[in-house]
Amino acid sequence: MSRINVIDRDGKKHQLKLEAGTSLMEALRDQNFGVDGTCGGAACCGSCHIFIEESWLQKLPADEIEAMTIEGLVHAEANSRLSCQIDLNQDLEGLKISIAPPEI
Amino acid sequence: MNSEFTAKQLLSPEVIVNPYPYYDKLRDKKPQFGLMDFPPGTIPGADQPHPAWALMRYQDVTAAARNNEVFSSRDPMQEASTAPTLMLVNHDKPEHTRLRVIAQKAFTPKRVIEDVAPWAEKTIAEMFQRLSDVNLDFMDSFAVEIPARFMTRLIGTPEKDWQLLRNWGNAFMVTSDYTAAERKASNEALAAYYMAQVNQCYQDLAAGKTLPDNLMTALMRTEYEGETLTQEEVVRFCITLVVAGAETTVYFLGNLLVTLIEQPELFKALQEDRSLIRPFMDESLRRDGPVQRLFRVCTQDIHLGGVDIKQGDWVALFFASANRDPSVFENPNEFILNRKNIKQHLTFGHGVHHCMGSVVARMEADKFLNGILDHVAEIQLTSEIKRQTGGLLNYGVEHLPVRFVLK
Repeated sequence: MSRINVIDRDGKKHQLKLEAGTSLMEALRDQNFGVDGTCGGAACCGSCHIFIEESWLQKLPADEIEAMTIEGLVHAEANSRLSCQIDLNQDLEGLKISIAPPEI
Repeated sequence: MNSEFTAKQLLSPEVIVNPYPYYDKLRDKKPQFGLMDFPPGTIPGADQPHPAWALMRYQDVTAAARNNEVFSSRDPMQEASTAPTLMLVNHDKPEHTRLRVIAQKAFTPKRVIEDVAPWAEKTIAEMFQRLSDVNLDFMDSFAVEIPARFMTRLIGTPEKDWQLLRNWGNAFMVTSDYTAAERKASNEALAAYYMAQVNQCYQDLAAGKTLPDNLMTALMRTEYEGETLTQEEVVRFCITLVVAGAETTVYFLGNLLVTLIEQPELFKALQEDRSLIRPFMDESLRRDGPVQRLFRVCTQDIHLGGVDIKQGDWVALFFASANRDPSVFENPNEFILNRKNIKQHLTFGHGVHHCMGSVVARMEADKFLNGILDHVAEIQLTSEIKRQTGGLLNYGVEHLPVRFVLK
């Protein structure tokens, strides 16, 4: 289990206790944070876009395919990640994220 | 039809007009074999359909969609037919990965939102402003025009050709009643048009001309591992975009308007709060999503949903039935705004074959709904709604006679 701090699209802060076994996208989608996850975790739709705290970027780098998807997003930033590619089986204790604006 | 309803009967017009009660009859049983349906691009009367398993439950549909090693998207029937094979939709790894990477680099949300959306907003506003007769058949005059015109803009072909795109898409997707000869001729005209358009672009490129930045030229230029698409692949990508984009979204727009007419309280809610547009679209996609099913072919024997599916068997994934599976969506036949698990609907597919054009569909619907809210005070139904019965691929309206009471 990891405790993750989430800032939603209205700027409100939440602390989530997330169990291992799924992806961060599924956890955020199921708790109605507004991410779509249209492609179901294939890193190709960009609809689960989040921003992560800069200090976590080195520990959680995006692979080539994910980086390419992010590049095509309107709201892409240097600290963008796709939450479907973040596995809750790893230690994410203290991770801080915010939900990116939807593309449409 | 009685309670002995079987998957083989899914193709009758009385089912196509509203298949949902029939999905309910099949969903509680084990998957059935024997659906004789026509995938997109095939020609009833010329091609011979293969019997297929019909997967109706959410759990079975997602399991098959996720497992693209076993459930192949290659369509031997379409490959053998005279119609052009669709890009991505009908490819498996590793070819699918190469094509998907190139498509993703060229067909980005940024291109849709920044290049096409502002034009779309202006175009829809003009369509409402030029309405001289407020009594109209929405499907003939509005719904068909928006996606086809947007597709010309996105791809970069003359906007005046939008009507051609609509007709070609309609014939290709086996939705309307065309004869085999008409459908074949339409598919040939579609291929010839894009071969000429793409060829002209390559000639301009060879002549050193500056090419405009549009999706067609982006597909020509984009590289993956140092290689670009062949000219023929660019043509087939354009064809795929047209048949996928100029057809399904027409029905999406129609289904959105039907809901606003049938449930005027929702129209009022959107008038008062436009932040409800997105959840309204999502719930429409779930409950009334146009695309009903797509096919896969099994590459090995597998046990799924309580049945043994053999290597080589065809399988129909009924996304629309999964979207109304009561074990996932409570009161699935009701239209519930801000439904808790709405993001789990499957209308755009699931996994690597999810619809790349979902951003386009949502953008078009968003601009259309905002256009209605800007210009229309009331929507009245002036005659009976007629639903399409030509084929099971899409759930949608053929005639929607309405009166827009303008503001």
